[in-house]
Amino acid sequence: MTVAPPAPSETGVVRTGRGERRGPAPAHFRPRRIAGVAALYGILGVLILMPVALVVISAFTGTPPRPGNIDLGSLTLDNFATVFSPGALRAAGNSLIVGIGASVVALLCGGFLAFVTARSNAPARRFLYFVGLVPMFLPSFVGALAWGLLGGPNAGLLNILARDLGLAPFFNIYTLPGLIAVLGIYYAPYAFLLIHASFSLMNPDLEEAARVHGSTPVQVLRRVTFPLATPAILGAAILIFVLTVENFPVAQMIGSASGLDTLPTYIYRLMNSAPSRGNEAAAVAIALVVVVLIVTAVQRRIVSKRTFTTVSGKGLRLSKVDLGWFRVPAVVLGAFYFVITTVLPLLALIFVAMHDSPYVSSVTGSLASGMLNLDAFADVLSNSTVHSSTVNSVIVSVTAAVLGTVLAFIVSYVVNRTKTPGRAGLGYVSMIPLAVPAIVLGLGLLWTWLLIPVPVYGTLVVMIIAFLAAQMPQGYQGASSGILQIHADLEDSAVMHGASRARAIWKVTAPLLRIPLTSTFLLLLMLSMRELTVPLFLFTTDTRLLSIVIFDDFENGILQSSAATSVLYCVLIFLLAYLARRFGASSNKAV
Amino acid sequence: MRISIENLTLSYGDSVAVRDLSLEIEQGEALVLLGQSGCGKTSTMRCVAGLETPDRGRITVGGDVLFDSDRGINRASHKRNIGMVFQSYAIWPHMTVFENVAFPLKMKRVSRADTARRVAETLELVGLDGFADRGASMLSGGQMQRVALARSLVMQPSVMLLDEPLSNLDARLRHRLRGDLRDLQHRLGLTSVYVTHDQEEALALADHIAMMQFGRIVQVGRPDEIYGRPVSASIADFLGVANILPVDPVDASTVQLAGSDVRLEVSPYQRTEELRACVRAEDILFGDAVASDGNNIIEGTIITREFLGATATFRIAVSDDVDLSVMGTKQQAMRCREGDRVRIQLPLDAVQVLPLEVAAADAEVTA
Repeated sequence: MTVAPPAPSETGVVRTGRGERRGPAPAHFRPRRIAGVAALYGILGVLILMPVALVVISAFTGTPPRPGNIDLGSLTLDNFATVFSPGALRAAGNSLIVGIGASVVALLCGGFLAFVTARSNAPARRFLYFVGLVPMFLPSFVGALAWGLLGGPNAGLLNILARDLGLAPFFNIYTLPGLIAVLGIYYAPYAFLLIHASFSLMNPDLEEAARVHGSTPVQVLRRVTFPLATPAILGAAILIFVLTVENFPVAQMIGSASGLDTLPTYIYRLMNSAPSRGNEAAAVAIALVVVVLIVTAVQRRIVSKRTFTTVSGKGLRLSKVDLGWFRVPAVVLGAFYFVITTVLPLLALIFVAMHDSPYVSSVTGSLASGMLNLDAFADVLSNSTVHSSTVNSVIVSVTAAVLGTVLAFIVSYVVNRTKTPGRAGLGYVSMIPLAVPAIVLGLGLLWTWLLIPVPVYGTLVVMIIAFLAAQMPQGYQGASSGILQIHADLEDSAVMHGASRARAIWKVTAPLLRIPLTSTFLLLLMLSMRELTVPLFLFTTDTRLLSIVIFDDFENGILQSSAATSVLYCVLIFLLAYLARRFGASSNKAV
Repeated sequence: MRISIENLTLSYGDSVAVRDLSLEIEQGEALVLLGQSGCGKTSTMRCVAGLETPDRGRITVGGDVLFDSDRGINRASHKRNIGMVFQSYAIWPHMTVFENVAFPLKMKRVSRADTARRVAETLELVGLDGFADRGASMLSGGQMQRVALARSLVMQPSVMLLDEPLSNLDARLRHRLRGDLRDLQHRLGLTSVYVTHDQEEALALADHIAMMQFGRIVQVGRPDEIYGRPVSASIADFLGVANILPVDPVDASTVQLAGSDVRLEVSPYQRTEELRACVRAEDILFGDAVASDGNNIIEGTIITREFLGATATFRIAVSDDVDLSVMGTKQQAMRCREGDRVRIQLPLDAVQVLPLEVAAADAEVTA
């Protein structure tokens, strides 16, 4: 028998047997990095931690914080009795059902479209990509408004149309399944964007290796492609679950009509009751925050167990999966999704906006007898409130999206690419707003900027700050999943060839991240344009945004005006998105 | 330029990747850091590149101190003017070949005309003329390797670092590029440091080889020295010595194979705890080549034979527990059968009795 080769006692780096513990490196090499991290903590602290802290404080005290009056003397747990009241528990149950149901619907729609557009040979993939993205430009509360117009049990246009055609009314959107469906289809673009990015950045070798090792194309998908997309799919699932659970306007518009409370509407009602019960609302919100933090931590654990550097430094050419007979049905399914998310709702809004009276007795009758005109549109267009709120919306959204993308990139770079101590905490802080319902964050921000002696309250600056805080998680996740997929060698190599670290990031990492960063910017822009809940407590008459004008009109029962403004609002969002995409595409050619 | 590394230590948290390592590399010399994965060779290279910050030590290139923990010097990577070819090549997929190679010059603000000229010259040097406008993601592995090389050469680096430069290529390409690399390195008189785990590559590329194990350099020497005189059995094993046999010392020039009564005459050796007799398969004489009498002649039984074309490998059992790997000729392979009894001889100078492991190398490289 031969002697076995002397087994290397260990692979990987060698462990020290000695007890001596060495610091990471001599202190004089570090201060600049540490100062940078400290500055980031400072920014995120004021943006995110302080509002949250104020909410926490008010959950444990008897009076909400006001300037010059933070009451830390009388700590109490009384507010938490509300958390276990029957009303709150019922609302929590509804929230859970809505969150899970809507996530499943959104993942199915978004994941399906992402796969078909990124990796299949289906025809009309550009159209399907557009279809996947387009509901993003339709704010979910406009979708809810439109579906309310379409699917009301009596006055819903679909039911009226059915009556016109001699059928029984068949549809009621004001139900739990209705709420789930509306949320699901309008949150699907998040799943679509995240999963699409992951599918299109994959290293084809990994799939080809599986094919070579005997997998059928279907097995490759199941065993390699989808597992590699797991961080994106999981990330999307968590994101959508949390966003739908904390969505306020859709639940308010569709749920409260039939007496369905979810946690956010319950919190809203607590705050709006007279006298305001802000402290109890804060307590309910904190219970929700804890649950979501647990979910996020679990996701992080799962993702951090494996390395997902799927893009190698070797360039990539991805293969397309042959769908076979399913090629055409795939497009039909996509088109159906397009109709229910976009075509029908927009038609309903336009129809109601153009109808000459608020009361619709027959859809076919109105179309035939010419009861449609542009007066309502003209009214909205000549309204100065709409003019100023349009300008406000554009300024706030574009600024918040640009700053948000830059901040998210910096933070996720520090977390994922450097070894600076304390970096992981930045990631957690960035994710906090995801766990804080927008309505509560809005309240926290209000308290914060009333307390901080900087005169931004009542200006557009406070709106921008609010959006930066609210959208940090989405920006951070988008930037991180992109950075994790670019091999660090590519940047190190630029440094070795004479570029400073900053220049290497600018010349190599940022251009390679152009697609993820453009989608992140687009995501933030759309989120800002669509945001209604966060500014709900921050606006003054001078700083009203379009979304607030629409919501106000709806709440006051002025449906025609609300519908007309919504149509304009959608056109504006489409336009912005179009410009943003063109800009992103042309800056690429300049590189 | 001359590279000097003194007392380099690098750790990640509690684990030490490089441990008190010292090394000198002369101007124009090619040094290969050879070792198994995880032995600290890439970490050492990344310290020289400035991509890792060591805990302690000093790194000097030419007269320039790049890193000195005592004096708080840590030159940024991009100011070190060190060329580096990454294992993954790290060719930027969003740029053309020209843009990739021109990058270092652009960073140095070289004029447009000079850049064009120098890039063209360098591409020609590595045999890529005519590829300048090709998109970088459309290249084969060998071409990427050449682009990576050109990108580093064009900056006229003081030192070249190459991290497993050939491991991603197929065998024939590897042979050719190995020759090209050696030729280029000689022609340009470039001080180069290679990292590899492939002994053949190391032997072919190096002026000197530094064997690394567990974050330390355990042996330094010319390729023929390392190949012919490994200082420990584990190094010998890594270098492809087929027979590493546990032995017990008998006297100053005799050992006994553990688990048998076979005794071998050997050159004088140092007595330590665990001893191994290391014998290359090609150094064992077999069949007709064995003299009628002499030292270390043993009888054994053929267990298996592998026909390899020009040669053949036999496993021969010399006792119940000990068998040897022996290289023979193709004629022998045709004549012999499994189960045949044969005589083999282990010439005195073919057997080295070595300790299983050694601590750090006592000799530092001197070129």
